[in-house]
Amino acid sequence: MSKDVAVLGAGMHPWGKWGRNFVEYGVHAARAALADAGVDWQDVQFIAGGETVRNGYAGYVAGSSIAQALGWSGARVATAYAACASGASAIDIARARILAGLCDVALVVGADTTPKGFLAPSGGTRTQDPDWLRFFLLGATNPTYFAFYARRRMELYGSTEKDWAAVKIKNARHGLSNPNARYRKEVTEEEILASAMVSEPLRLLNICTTSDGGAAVLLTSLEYARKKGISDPVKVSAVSTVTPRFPKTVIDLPDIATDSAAAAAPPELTFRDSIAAAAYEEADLGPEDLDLAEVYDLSTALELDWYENIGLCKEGEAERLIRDGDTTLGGRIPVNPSGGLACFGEAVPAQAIAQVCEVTWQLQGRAQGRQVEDANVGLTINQGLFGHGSSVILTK
Amino acid sequence: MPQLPRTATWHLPVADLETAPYWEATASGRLLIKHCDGCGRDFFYPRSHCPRCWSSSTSWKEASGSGVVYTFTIVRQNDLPPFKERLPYVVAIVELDEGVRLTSNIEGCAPEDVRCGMKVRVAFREEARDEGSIFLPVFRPA
Repeated sequence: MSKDVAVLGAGMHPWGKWGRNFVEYGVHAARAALADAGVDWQDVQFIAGGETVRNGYAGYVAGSSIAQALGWSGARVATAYAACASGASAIDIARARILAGLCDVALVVGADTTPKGFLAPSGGTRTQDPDWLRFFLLGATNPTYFAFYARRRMELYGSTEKDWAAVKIKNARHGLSNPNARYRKEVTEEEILASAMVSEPLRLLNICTTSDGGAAVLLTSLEYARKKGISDPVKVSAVSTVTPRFPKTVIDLPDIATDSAAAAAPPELTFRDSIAAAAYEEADLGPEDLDLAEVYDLSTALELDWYENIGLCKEGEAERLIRDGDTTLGGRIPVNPSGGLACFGEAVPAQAIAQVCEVTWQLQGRAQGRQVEDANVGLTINQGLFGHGSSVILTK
Repeated sequence: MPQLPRTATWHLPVADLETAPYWEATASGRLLIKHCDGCGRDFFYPRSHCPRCWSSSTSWKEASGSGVVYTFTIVRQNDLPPFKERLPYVVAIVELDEGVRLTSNIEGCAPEDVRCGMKVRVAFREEARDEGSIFLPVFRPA
């Protein structure tokens, strides 16, 4: 049995700081995905939502909040939370139901309305929650962790501010013609290097902002797609949501402590490596098969880590890739042709779905102004808090 | 350290059965990690069973308190109280001699003087609130 499901439709609400109800963005994206697929809402048998934790109870049950706004239809429903990987978890649930034969048509939606500034700790006093402790005892904000990784690249590989600026410049150019991107403006190295220092060594223009936005995909069985007359749809060929392995020696957001590698060698693959490895294994593909990738550039320096994690190059070689233009549109393996988080900002439960929307449009040859030539295989990857991460491989 | 504002939104960790020995030790100037008597490995954060072999035969082990800075950042923007008043300050990942790593603060030197690989030694910073106080492990140049 094929493990593939079809992506019949993709849709988004443009990213921005619109200040409206997240449900509105979700509905907009869902309707766009349904229209793109030519499928009626009444024919959707299952809806999966990515949870938002910043919009009250309606956000905790995002799947049903959006279903209600679309009009109760009797569809089955689920809502998934996996921090930044929430959207991919929702995709995973929908895919599993389709592959299990429990339904043929599933809608996956994620949407968020974000407050101003850095993502603050979620509400309440929880003195045994590591996420709460790192914020309130240690002053460790999200950019603190991005800075930890950037500093390691400096120490190990001689990564420089200019390398990170090159990532931002590339992504800003990629996003120029993306109608869903929040920032569509070129940026210069001088502007980046003159922007305010936030968490050394990272400056403001190295760190992604937080945004409002919504994204949706309409997934179906291959058989349903064929009946609709679509014999060669873009397919989801893998969804990886692996957890870390013991001993976990890398401190990831929001860890405040981690295992020792002194008495037990760490696993061969780091957690981030293993997210991609599991996706490759499931799709029976490797990094050499990729035509493009959408990686989670929470910071510019982190994009370089991802190059290595997804196998585009060996450890320590990512700086060479960005300097040589390998990951720029027209290069060997374009990364973040959408413009990435640098142009979007993060709308947590929508972001992993937005990555899948972009790769879908790329494989369909519909990414106007940012099209990767002859794109047949694309990968998305991200990492969330608390051992969550996801990677989706799409094929044509 | 400047006197911290006592705000209702900023409470101390509450010790429970699993973590009480840890906080009692920091109050007496000792840093504890956990050791598995089953497979001999050290682990951290403290929990009642070994995350490797699942043995529930675990014991507390006093760490030497020395380690090196694995990576760090100088935080220059943070609006959350009380850290806004502390800017700039250093958050670091410290690798203890025992191999475990923890997120902590580096104090006792100018933020600009912190380096990866720098030898550090644990110190204990009192955090006092209306409900009492705890001693938080932080690190200073060794």
